[in-house]
Amino acid sequence: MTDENGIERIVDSLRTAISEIPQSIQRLTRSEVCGEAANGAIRVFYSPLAELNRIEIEPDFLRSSDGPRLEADLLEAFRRAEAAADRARDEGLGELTFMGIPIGRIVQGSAIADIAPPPDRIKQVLDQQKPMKPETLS
Amino acid sequence: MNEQLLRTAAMEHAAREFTGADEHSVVTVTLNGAGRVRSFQVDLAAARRLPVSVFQSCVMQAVAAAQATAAQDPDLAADLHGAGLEGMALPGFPQ
Repeated sequence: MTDENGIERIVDSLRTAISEIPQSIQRLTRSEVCGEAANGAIRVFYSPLAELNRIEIEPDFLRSSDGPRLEADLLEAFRRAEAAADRARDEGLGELTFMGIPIGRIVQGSAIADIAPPPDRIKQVLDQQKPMKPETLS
Repeated sequence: MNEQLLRTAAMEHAAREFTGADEHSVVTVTLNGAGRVRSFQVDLAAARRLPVSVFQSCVMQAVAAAQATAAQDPDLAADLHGAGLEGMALPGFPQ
């Protein structure tokens, strides 16, 4: 493998990764998770990116519940929705990789130093990549 | 970017609490600095006088108000300034 082929593979992989990130984030923004409490009388809907989309509360529950119970159930529904959003985000962004490096974790806040593989591993990944054909370069 | 300073700023910010309420103060919510809900306070008598759809809006307004308060936190701004990270948004908060 020549250095030029290695660089071409890196560039090709980077282009792919860059194009996939906005699509993955868009999918996460459009999807929705739910947290429930009080046997479904309170439902809280978040996007996997922790954006509060909407809340649904049964009218009968609001009329019959006491104050502390209502507050506790609201909190429980929100916490379950937050946890569901965390799981969905981790799953969605965890699929994002660049040459075997889980770059989705960078989007989630991990430090690059924490996830960057050692140099010999990078070389292994480069060697495994399919060489680009010259006509595919633009 | 100093990632360690950003992490420290995020951890210190997460330890704080921020409160918001809807415009009629029917619902008050407290978030931690990471945008996670910590508690609710509901004026039940006032809530029961509202259509449930309006009460739902009150909850959403309260959460949004608390998030806005957190995002404008001067201590957060100071933490980020100290790390040379002015203008950065922390995870969990809208930009």
